[in-house]
Parts: sequence; C-alpha cells; structure tokens
Amino acid sequence: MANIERKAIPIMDGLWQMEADDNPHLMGSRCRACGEMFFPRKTLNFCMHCHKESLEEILFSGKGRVLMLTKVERQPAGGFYKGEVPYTYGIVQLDEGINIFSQLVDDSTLSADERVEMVVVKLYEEDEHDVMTFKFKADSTLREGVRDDGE
Amino acid sequence: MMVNNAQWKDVYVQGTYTTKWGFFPGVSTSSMGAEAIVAALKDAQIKWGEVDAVFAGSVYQGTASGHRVVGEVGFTGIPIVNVENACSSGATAFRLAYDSIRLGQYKTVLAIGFEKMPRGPIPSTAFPSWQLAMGFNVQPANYALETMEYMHQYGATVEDFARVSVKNRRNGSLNPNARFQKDVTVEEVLQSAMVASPLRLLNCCPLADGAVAMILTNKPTNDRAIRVASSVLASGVYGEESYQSGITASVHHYPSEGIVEKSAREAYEKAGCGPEDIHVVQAYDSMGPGELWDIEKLGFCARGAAPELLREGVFDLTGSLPVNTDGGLLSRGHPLGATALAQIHEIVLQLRGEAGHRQVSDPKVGLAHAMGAGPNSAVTILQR
Ligand SMILES: [Zn+2]
Repeated sequence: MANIERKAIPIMDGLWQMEADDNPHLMGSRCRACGEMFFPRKTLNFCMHCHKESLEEILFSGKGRVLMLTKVERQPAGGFYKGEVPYTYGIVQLDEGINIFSQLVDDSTLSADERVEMVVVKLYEEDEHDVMTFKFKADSTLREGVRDDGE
Repeated sequence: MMVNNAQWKDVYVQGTYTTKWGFFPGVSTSSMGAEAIVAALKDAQIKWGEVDAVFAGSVYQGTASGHRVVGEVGFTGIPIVNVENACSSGATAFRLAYDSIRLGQYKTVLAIGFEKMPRGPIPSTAFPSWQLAMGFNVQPANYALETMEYMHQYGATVEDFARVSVKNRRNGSLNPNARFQKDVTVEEVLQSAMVASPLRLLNCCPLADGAVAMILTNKPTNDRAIRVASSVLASGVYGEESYQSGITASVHHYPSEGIVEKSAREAYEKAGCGPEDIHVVQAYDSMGPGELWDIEKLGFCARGAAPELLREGVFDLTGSLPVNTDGGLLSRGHPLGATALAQIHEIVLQLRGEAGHRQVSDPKVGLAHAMGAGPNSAVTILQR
C-alpha cells in the first residue's frame, strides 16, 4: 500500500502565513496615515477609518489576550460549519491592538483575560484534505504544567 | 445634512393588523401576507384601490416576494418595492412608506412585513463565507460574548436576564397572537438547555411565521389614527463591528457614538421629544439581555441601571415605563421580515387603547426599536 499523504489546506487563503521562525502569523493591513489595523487584510487599498489609499500589509505577532469566551453547544445553522460541536468561541485582543473573533483551543481551564497565542489546527476533514484553521490557545510559555494536547 | 421643511406632510398610521404568530405548515407566506393586507384595509376603513404604493419587508422569501403577496390581493398597477434589511426589514419598509408620504410623493401607502422562518438557528448571509465555515455566525454565541461584557462592566447577573424572559412571557400570556402564551419562572429559565454560555434556551427568542400590514396616510379619516412623530434608520457606525454592545474591532479608534444611540438621538430630535416623554416601549429582545442594554442605549436610564429598574417593576405593564407589552420577541416569536412592524403595531394598539388585557394606562407617546444584522438600528416614535 502506498502511503497517501493527506494534504493540509487552509480554510481560506490569505488569513495567515508561516514565517522563518516557523510560527504562523495572521496577515492584516495597517494604515500608514492613521495607524488603524484590519483583519483579515484588505485587498482594496482604502482605509475604512480615514478613507485614504495608504494601506500596507502587516503580520500580527500571534499573541494576545482573550477578552471573553463562550461554548457553542449547538450545530450552527446553514450547513456551512463542518467542525466539531461543541466548540469554544470568543474575542481575542491582539497585542497590536485590534479585537478579532476566533475559535479557542479550550481544555476547560481557559478563562477571560488569559494570555493566548495563535495556532493552526485541523478544523475538519474533507475528501483527502485536512482543512486547517487558525485558533488561539493558552500561551504555552506561561502555562507550564498544563497539559497541552491541542486538537 | 438634515433640513426642516414646512412642505413636509404629517404622516399617520390609519390601519394595522397582525396575523397570529407560530408555525403554520400548510399556510403560504403569500396567503399570510394577503390576510394581513385585507384586514389592515378594513381596520383603516379604506379600499384597496386607494393604496398608492407598497413597501414589502421580508428576509427569506426570495425574489419579488412582495409581488406574490400583493398578487393574492390583486395587482392594481401601483409600485411594489421589496425590502430586505435583516431583522429591521419591517421597520425599513415602514420608514420608506413614511418618507414617501412625508415628502408628498404618495397619499396612502401600505407597509407590510411577512416571513416563514427556516427551522433551527438562523443561517445568515450577513457573515463572510470564511466566518460561516469557522462557526462565527451563531447569534446566541455572539450575544453571549456581549452579555459577558455587560456582566463584567455593570455586574448584571443571569437572574437579571431571566427576569426579562419572565416579564415578557407574562406579557405574552396576555397576547392572543403571541407564539408563547405561557408564563415562565426564573428557575425555569435558569434550568433550560444551555445554548451558548451564559445564554440558555429561554433567554433566546423563538422563531415563528407571521405577517403584519399597516396603512399609512397623510389624510387620516378617523380618530383612531396615530401620528408618526419620527422614523429613523441607522446602518453601521465605523468601528462598531459587533453591533449589540461596546466590543469594537478597533482598540485605537472607538466610534464616537454607537448605532443605537445615534438612531435614538436622531429619532428624538426629529420628533421634538426626549426619552422622558415616552410612555411605552417595544425594545429589541431577540436575546433577553439585549433588552436591558437596549433600554439604556435608548436613553431611558444610565448604562448598567436597567437590571435594578427591572427588579423594581418599572418595565412591567403597571410600571412607569412598560417595555415589550406584547411579550416582545421572546414571547411573540421572531419572523425576521415581520418583527419590526409587529413592534410598531403594538405601539399603535397601545396608543389607541386597544391592547386588551395588556393595555397600559393612557399612553400618549410610544417608541419601537429594531436591531438587525448588517448592522441596522431602526427607531420609530408614534404619538396619539
Ligand atoms: Zn487610515
């Protein structure tokens, strides 16, 4: 039997990229005129805040703080979501200063205000693919001793 | 730029009707809508041929759905405009009808909202596809995040949120058109199934099918007509990404005014009154906690003060500011395209003194507020 390697594909192109440090970074846009930041990155060069054509691409550090989180107990409607249920969902404030929605890797000990870091994990399998997403999990450098088995 | 113009006409609600709200598997959307139109014409004591235009709100009914409804009553060659503005669709249809009369384009206009809801939580195209794929479109979950922020900032508790359901279900028990006409207790709310912590099933409004039709005119022909003091729609404020509360996308650039506050301020300015002049309110309670911060943002009390006023009975039918007298979305149910018109319908009934067992004492001015994905915020003030 040939060993068929499963291919990992992102849920959407352009949400994150791997850097030389081997860590994933969310991709965004920053306005050179007013400093406003956007996630995901804007393909249209037009700042939604100051309305100038002065956007540049940036990479976020991937570190932040979870502001609040909830556990979704029911399958989202519409058939769009193919990941596991229940799942933990919340708002993360990135260190650069924007708030984004994200799923969270939750071992039931994650709490509001905790430091988190970005990871890329499997959301679901489809045909021969693993469909990957970004999530945030408790910052491992701050949580020695807490078992980290991710997904 | 807003300008005042002496040529503007006064606008009145001359007739209104709502169907019963619930699940009606054998009944089509168009027959529900047509039933509402014919009954609203009777209530207004006018003929179908006197209607100059139709603004028709719905969300899930597809192309030209208003034409299908009107077609059941009979085409008369008048313009039919279909309006989709999420949960504010009915209020947006109302606002377009109001403006068209106010500006002198038409004399008599029909605003209608109707919906047969898909079952289960609501699939929303108001989210980009990658967010749908990542499970970000669960409204109770998004409200849950806002609710935790509200608890954190103001010390509100799950018991406070349960009391909203208790009050509204009690009011709904007096509304023969509501989907749920049965009281619940705080304990029942707190023991109902968890949907997205801390929100449980009985904190969330149920879906329903329903239709509401309303005749607006500048020449009322009976003394039951209710004047529209203002009708305002605000859609999106920069930076207020999460529209239910104060969680903004940008940490560096907060919006100077939230969408609810903006729509309320403009509605009060145009009506020439303030929150202190309002006697009865339909607030937006798709999720119980939302009613509390809605009351605050509409200017009826300070931020964080609504839970205590609720405990004191201020928002009861017998209180000084009755809120969601027909049971609100929590009892009545939530057919998206019809909901916001149902809120206005209830204010009209209250101001006419025709609200039956849930009639509040002699109200002269009422306010209805609808929120919606997009985001939208629609405020309508009516005056006897
Ligand atoms: Zn800018």
